[in-house]
Amino acid sequence: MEDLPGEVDIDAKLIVERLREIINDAPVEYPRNWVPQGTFDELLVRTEREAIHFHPSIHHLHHRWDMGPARHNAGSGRGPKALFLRVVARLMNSAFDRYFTEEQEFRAALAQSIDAIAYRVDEVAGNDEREILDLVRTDLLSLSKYVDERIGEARKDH
Amino acid sequence: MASPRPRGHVAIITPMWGEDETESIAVIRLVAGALARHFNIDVIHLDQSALAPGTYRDSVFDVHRFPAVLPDRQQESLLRVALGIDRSPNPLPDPLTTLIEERASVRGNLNAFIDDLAPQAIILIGSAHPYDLDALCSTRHPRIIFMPLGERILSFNDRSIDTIMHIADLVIASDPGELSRLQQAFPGRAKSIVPLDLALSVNRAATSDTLFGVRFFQPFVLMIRRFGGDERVCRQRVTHAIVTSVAGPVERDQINQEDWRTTDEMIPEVLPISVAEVDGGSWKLSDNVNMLPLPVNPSRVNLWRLMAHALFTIDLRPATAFGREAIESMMFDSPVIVPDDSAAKEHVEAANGGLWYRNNGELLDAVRVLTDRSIREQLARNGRAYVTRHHSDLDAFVERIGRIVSESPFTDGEKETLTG
Repeated sequence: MEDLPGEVDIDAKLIVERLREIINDAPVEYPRNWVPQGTFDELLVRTEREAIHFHPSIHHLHHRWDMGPARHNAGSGRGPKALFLRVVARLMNSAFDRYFTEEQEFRAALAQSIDAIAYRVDEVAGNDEREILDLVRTDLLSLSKYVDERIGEARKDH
Repeated sequence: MASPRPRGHVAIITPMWGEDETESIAVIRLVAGALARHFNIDVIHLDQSALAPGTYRDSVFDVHRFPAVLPDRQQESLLRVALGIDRSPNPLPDPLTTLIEERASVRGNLNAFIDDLAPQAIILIGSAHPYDLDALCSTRHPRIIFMPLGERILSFNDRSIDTIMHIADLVIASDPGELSRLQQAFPGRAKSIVPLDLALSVNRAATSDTLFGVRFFQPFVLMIRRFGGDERVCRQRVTHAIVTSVAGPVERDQINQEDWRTTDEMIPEVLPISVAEVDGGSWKLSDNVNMLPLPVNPSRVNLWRLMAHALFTIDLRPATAFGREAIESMMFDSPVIVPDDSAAKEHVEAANGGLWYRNNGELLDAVRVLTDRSIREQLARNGRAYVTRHHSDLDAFVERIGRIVSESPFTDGEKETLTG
C-alpha cells in the first residue's frame, strides 16, 4: 500500500496548546475568552416559542462587535494609493489608539450584556415552559391514578 | 481437490452485543466479522437485560446469551446475610430460593460452557470483569486476548484490569492513546500490547454526489450532534448560528473552488459559511439567513456525502468508544474537531489531522483556526495519510487480526515469567 507522506510543518497539538496558552496568558479573562452563549435548552428549541438567541440581530452583534481585525488589517496593495492609505491608517491608529481601545471595550461590554440578557430571557421562557409541563404532568398523573382506582373499584364490584 | 483447512473456534466474551447500533457494538461486529474469515465465532453475550439465557444465530455468529449477573462475590454474600439464609430457621419462599440458586450457578454454568466449547482463543472485549476471573485464571486456556474497548474511565491500577493484564497473552488497544497508556501502566507487557488499527471501508463513489440542496449552502461545516444508535443527549451549547457567525464569512480564496457547485459560475468575493447539522434523525443546513431541513435517511453513506464536501467536521457528541466518525472524516479530507479525552481525540492527535477542545471557548477557537485554508489543507493531508496507513486496508486488517488471534508472540516459558 502506498504510504502517503504527511505534512510535518504543522502540529495540531502545538496549535491546541498555543490557543490554550493565549487564553491562560491573557491579562484579563474578558473579552478574549468570552464566547456568545448559545441557548441550547432542548425544551425551548422544541417548542413553538422562538428563542431570543436565534434572532438574526443577535447573530449580527456576535459577529460584528470585534474591531480587532479591521484595525489591524494593513492591506496588501503595493501601489502609491495603498501605501498612502497604509500610512494614514497607521497614523490614525496611533493617534486614536486610546479611543479605539475604549470603543472596543465598550462594544464588547455591550455585546456581552445584550447576550446575557437574551440568555436570561430564554432561560426564563424555558423555566416557564417547564412549569407548565410540570402542571400538565401532575394533572395527567392524578387523572391516571383516579382512573386506576375506579377500575379497581369496578373489578371489586364485579 | 484439497480438503478445506479445518477452522478453529474462537469465543468472544462481551457485555456489548445485540440490535443496538452503538459504536462499541459496531466495532465488535467488525472485529468478529474479520475473525469469521478465519475461525468459527461463538459470541458469549453477557446480557444486562432480563432476557432468558439461550443460543441463537446472528449473521455468521453463534451467540450464547448469559445473564450478566453481579460478578462480585461480596455482593452475593451480602445478599445471603441480608436475607438471613444461613441462620434463619424458617425456609425462604421457593421463588427466592430459586433466584439465589440461579445466581450462584450462572458462573459455574458459564465456565462449564466455555470448557465444553474448547475454543482456540478467548477474546474478552469491553469489560474489566467479563466473567469470573478466578476461574479464568485457574483453568488452562490456550490463548486469552483482552481488548478494553471503550473502558476509558478505568484506572489501570484497578485489580480486575491488573488480573486480566496478567492472564492475557495479548492485549489489543483500540486507539493510540489507549496503547500508550497501557504500555506505561504495564511496562513489562509492552511487547504484548498491539494496536487494533481497525480498517473501515467507505463508499467513495457514492460521495461524488452531494445531497439535495447542499450546493446552495456551500461552503459548509459539518456539525455532528447525534448519530447512529447513540442517543445520549449532547450537552454542548454551541449552535449552528454561533458556528456560522464565528466561522464566516470567508474570502473566496479560502475555499476550494472545485467544491463550488452552483449553476452560477461567478463566485462571490466573500461567502458566508453554512452549517450542516446532523442530530439523530433530524438533519438540516443553515446559513446566516436560511434553514433547509434535509429529508434524507440518516445513514452512514449520507453522512459520508456531507463529510466529503465539508470544509471541516465538528463532533459535538460525548466521547465514543472508538471515534469512527473522526476517522471517516479524515478519510474524506475533512479535518475534524473532537472533544478532548475521547478515543476520537487520540486518533486525531496521532494523525495530526484536526483539533480538539475541552469547552465551548476552545471549540470556537478551533473553528476560527480552521477557517484558514492552509492550516485546513495541511491537517486534511495529514489525516488522510494517517487513515491510509492505519485504517484503510480491509484485506490487510483481516489477515492481521487472524494472525493476532492464532499466533502467540510468547513461548509458554516467557508467559509464565510475565505472569509470575
